[in-house]
Amino acid sequence: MLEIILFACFGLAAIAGAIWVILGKNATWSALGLLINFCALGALYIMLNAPFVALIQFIVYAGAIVVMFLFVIMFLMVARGEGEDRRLVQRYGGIALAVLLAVGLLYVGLNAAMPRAPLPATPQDNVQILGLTLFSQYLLPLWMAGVLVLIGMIAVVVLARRRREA
Amino acid sequence: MSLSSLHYFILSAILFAIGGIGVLVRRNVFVIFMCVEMMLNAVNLSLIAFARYLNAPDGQLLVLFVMAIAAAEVVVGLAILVALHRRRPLTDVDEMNVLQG
Repeated sequence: MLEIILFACFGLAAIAGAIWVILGKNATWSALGLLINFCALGALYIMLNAPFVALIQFIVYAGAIVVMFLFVIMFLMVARGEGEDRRLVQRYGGIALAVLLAVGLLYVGLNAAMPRAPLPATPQDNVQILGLTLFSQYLLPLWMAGVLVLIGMIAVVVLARRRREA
Repeated sequence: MSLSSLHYFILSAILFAIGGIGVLVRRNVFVIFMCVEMMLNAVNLSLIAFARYLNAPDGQLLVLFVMAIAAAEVVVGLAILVALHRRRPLTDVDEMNVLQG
């Protein structure tokens, strides 16, 4: 019972944050809605017996990515509102496409064989199990993720240089 | 009634669709980028839920990789936007229609 109440609270907070992102007046309001969305999802991860992933969510997503967004928005001072809205066809066509996507996903979800009850949970050694599997089965993707982050850092340094005028 | 993975999947689908609406409707480039991140998080929620209900750690590991890739993508995307902003201070994707320069 408590689980259902917590799921409802955090789920509604995540949806409210998401609606705040798409309806925010300017980019800074949307960033705050994104922060609410990420924190609610982190709480849901804790409910789903994934404390390590929840911690990484709070640190990386809510603590680094949203902060980086806000830094760039305030550095470029682009937080004023947009101009005129899109034409009605574009706006309602976009909403209709996304609603169609949601309906398709829900149709698949309601007709698929989803696990209805959680399997018996393992004892509280989430980090050990993650570490064992990460460094045995997923070693190659782990190394590739490291190389990818390195490439990202190099790309940022190259992009941030000022072009030397000839 | 107890929670099943279907509830988490429905929440994930709703968040994904809201992100999709944001990508298609908004014109501010930062808001579009934020909505893409929101869609990635919706998929993360679905992965974690199935990892719990099937008692397998693979879902959580996939989420870790998705987070690493999303972080690298945000970094490079924001660097591109800052580099673009030096040329012309634009935030409207409808105005960014010139591929050169």
